[in-house]
Amino acid sequence: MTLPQVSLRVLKFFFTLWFTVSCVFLVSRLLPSVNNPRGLADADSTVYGTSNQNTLQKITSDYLTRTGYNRPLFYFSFQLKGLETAENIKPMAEATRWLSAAVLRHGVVPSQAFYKEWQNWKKTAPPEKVNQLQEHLQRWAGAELNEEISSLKKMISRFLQTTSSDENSLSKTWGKLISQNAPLSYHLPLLRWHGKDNVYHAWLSGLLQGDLGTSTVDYKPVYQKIGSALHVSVGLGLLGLLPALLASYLLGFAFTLHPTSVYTSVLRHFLYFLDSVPGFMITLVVFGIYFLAGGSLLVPFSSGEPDLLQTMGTPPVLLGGLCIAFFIIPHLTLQFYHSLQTQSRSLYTRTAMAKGLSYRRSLRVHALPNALVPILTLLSEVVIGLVSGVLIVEITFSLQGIGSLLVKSILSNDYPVVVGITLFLLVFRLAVTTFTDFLYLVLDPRNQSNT
Amino acid sequence: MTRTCAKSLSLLFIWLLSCSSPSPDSAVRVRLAQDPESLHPLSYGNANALQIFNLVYQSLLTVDLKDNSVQPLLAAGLPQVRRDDSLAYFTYTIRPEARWDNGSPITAADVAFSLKLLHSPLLDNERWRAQYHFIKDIQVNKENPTSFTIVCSGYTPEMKLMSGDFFVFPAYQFDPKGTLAAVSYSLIRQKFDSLSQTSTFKEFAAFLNNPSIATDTATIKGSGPYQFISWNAGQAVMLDRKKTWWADKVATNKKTLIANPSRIVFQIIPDNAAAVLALKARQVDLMDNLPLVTFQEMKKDPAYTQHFNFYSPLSYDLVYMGMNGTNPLLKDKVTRQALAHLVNVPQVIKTIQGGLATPTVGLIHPKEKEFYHGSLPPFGFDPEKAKTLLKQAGWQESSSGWERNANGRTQRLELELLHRAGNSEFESFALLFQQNAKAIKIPVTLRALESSQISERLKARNYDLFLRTLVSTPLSYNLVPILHTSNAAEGGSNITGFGTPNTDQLLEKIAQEERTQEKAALLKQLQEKMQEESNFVFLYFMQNKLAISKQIDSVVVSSLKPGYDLLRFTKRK
Repeated sequence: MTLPQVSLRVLKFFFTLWFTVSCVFLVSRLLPSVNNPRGLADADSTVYGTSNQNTLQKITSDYLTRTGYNRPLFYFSFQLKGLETAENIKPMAEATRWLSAAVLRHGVVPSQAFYKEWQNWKKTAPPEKVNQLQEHLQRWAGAELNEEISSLKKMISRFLQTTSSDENSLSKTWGKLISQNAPLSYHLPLLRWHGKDNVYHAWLSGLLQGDLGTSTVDYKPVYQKIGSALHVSVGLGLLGLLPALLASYLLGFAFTLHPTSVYTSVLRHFLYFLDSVPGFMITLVVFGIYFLAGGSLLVPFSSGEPDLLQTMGTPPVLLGGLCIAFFIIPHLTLQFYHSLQTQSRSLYTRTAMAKGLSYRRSLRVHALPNALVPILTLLSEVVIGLVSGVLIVEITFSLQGIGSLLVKSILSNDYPVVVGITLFLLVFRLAVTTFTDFLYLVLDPRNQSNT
Repeated sequence: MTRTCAKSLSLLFIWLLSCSSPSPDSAVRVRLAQDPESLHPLSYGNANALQIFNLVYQSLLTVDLKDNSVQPLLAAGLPQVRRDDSLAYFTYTIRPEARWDNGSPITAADVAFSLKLLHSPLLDNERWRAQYHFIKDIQVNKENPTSFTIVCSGYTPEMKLMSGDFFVFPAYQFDPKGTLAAVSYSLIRQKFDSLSQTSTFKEFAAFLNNPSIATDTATIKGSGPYQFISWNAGQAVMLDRKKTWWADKVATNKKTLIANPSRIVFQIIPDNAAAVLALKARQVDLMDNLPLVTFQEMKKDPAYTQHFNFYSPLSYDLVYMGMNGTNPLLKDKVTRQALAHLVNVPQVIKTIQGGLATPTVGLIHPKEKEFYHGSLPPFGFDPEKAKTLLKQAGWQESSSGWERNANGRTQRLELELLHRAGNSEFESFALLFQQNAKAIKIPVTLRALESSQISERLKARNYDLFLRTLVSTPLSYNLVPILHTSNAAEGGSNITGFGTPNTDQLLEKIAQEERTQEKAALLKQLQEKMQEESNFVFLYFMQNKLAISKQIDSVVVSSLKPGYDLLRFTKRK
């Protein structure tokens, strides 16, 4: 490959990376739970003794200030001109919604007049009337169809006439408000520039300096959390993959050598059966056998971070590795067998045998290298799958791999970790596929002669 | 074919498992469904972390799980109460024997520190700030360092518990530099914003928002009877009883100062099937919230009944369907009543809960005999009545459904029911309700959402119907936050828009009333009103499903969380 080609590829790689991770980050910031303090709004448990509305609002706004999430999300945003004008009036929180609607529909001057009058009226009016008007106004603001808007307008007019009979100023300003129309330009979207002081910029500059942020659950740096989860996932993956590779190689080879043997047929049928058993069944059966054999749940408690070998030595990881081997052996073996069989039927194998090589030797020397090439793609997918976590195994054996860390972080709204894992998996996938491409290039001489 | 094979295989294993031997040691092993995730004193992760915290830290008061009574824990006795116009004063004295692990006495300064921690800026304490907002100040007695008064705004009877229901943390450990000791509690609350700018508070926050505080079990030491031995994240938490615990020397009022098990191991097994396997292999002594089918099968099987006792204590988790009273479709109560007649509670309890649930007419548990309105007949399943009510509310039946004219626009009665995704009980109920509604031509769309999305929709009042659990308690009847109209606007906790001026008065009176008889009369009125308004359709109080090893003596199961009293357990070898 030439230099421009390489640099184009690198550029593409980084662009994909930046684009995907930015999307994940921005989407995660748009989720509703991000803007609520932890534990303040749990959907399935309302506990008695929570505070009143004003306290909750104050606390939520303090939280947003503390975390810096009250800043704009991105460098720019779009907003209707009318809404921006309404914001300039700086209304009270409860009036924001209907005042924006009023400005957008009827212009800023009469809206401001009505808002002022409403503030005065509110001081003296009975609270239930204030609430009723508030409710009417909110509904009017929320209405979308023209006939609904106009009927609600009439209703508010009637309500105001009956309520403030002696001092009709509120009713009058309302009448004035609804008689006017806002200029059309209020519906034009305006681009608002927020500059560098936004959430995305802060996150991206942190990322470029290698700072993925810290977990919101236990304050650990994200890379550290991913690191220890990766530890388990790699241990688990190695324990599953290496025996599976060995077994698949031996079985595939044996099947091809003795295609008519009874063992081959029995074993192949068993592999088909194993392939169709759902994963959770395999893990539970393995777990059950472990208990039967007198195994215990109690893992030796360790102090500090264990090294990879230590991790691989603990019973849950060993059992998990065994399950993973069971998951991938059928697929890998059958594919390898199929590939080897195809090669063994090809002309060059026949030539090799005609020249005096034994069947076994012709398979090993000539057919095998060719049969391995298609297996590479399969293998790269398996490796990627293993690192992103085999959730069934991790959940059953209570292992803290990448898969369960991702699920846990999503459930506890720990978005820095979610974004971090996404980034890691993306880089890993790209790295593995690039490496596989490279291997193809090296292993298959035809590719070299093409370039 | 695969299925039969898999099933017969699993049956074989389960049979074999029942013959295997139990774990030999004297530790009490409890299954937890979730990792505690964080042991930070302010931002701990979940209910499991709280359960573990209750073994390590102590509060001034506690609730005895045996009889649901409020008992002193760190405090020498229940607080003395004094009231004036707008404030209430609760005076406590800490037990003279109470000591931290380093031998120093627990004093009012530690209590003041703990309260300040709940309100300091820059910390992850938002939910505590909301919960303990009513505590205005703490006055330390200058002559007696173990005596102090907590000043609360307003007065409700539950403050007798709530004013002493927070963990007391050792100040020497969490604030070695004395940052919080230098500032008074009331100042922290008043100058919240400006204090958050100061460097001392920034430094304190950096010290406290630190992974070692959240995960290092060696540094987590409280006044409780247990200390951490180890925490294998995601796998197990082990706690040992302290060899010398201060409360062993206490002579009086010892009712709640018990700690029998010498070692407690929490086994974290997220997967229910794996946990059941572990239970059947007797690797855990206790498992709660057993799946219904497993619970029923194990209860019948002598192989398990010889090793386990099974309990299904009542709980205060109330499942209800809420209706949006601010929604134009559901604004009038007659429509809401009509929908309430489409819920077949006995059928739901029988099919979804296997009979293990208690039907109720209101949000008071039928077990609370003096407060529960036993003579109020439940609505019952009655589609014909529902139709009559709909007509009464102005709806007209057409070939395609129900319509009415409102504000010059035709409204169609089409509803959407929100429930949490992944909760199979809610899913089944939603399907049953959808069927019942369809039978009288009301189309109901079911929407399974993630819980924070539901919260957001409820908060914005952008919904028709929803299913939810309300964790209630027999210790508090302050229902103002969730039922008063002053909390009905966006952002408040009254999400269904319940309430009339009449019910508001009722709620205010209930919150203040201390005499049982009067309170009962008011609560019964409220239950009638709530049924009439039908913003809430109460389905049932759930029952816990527990299996506890027969090796454990003096078992106490409770309707309060976590559902059993670990501290009273003794395990035979």
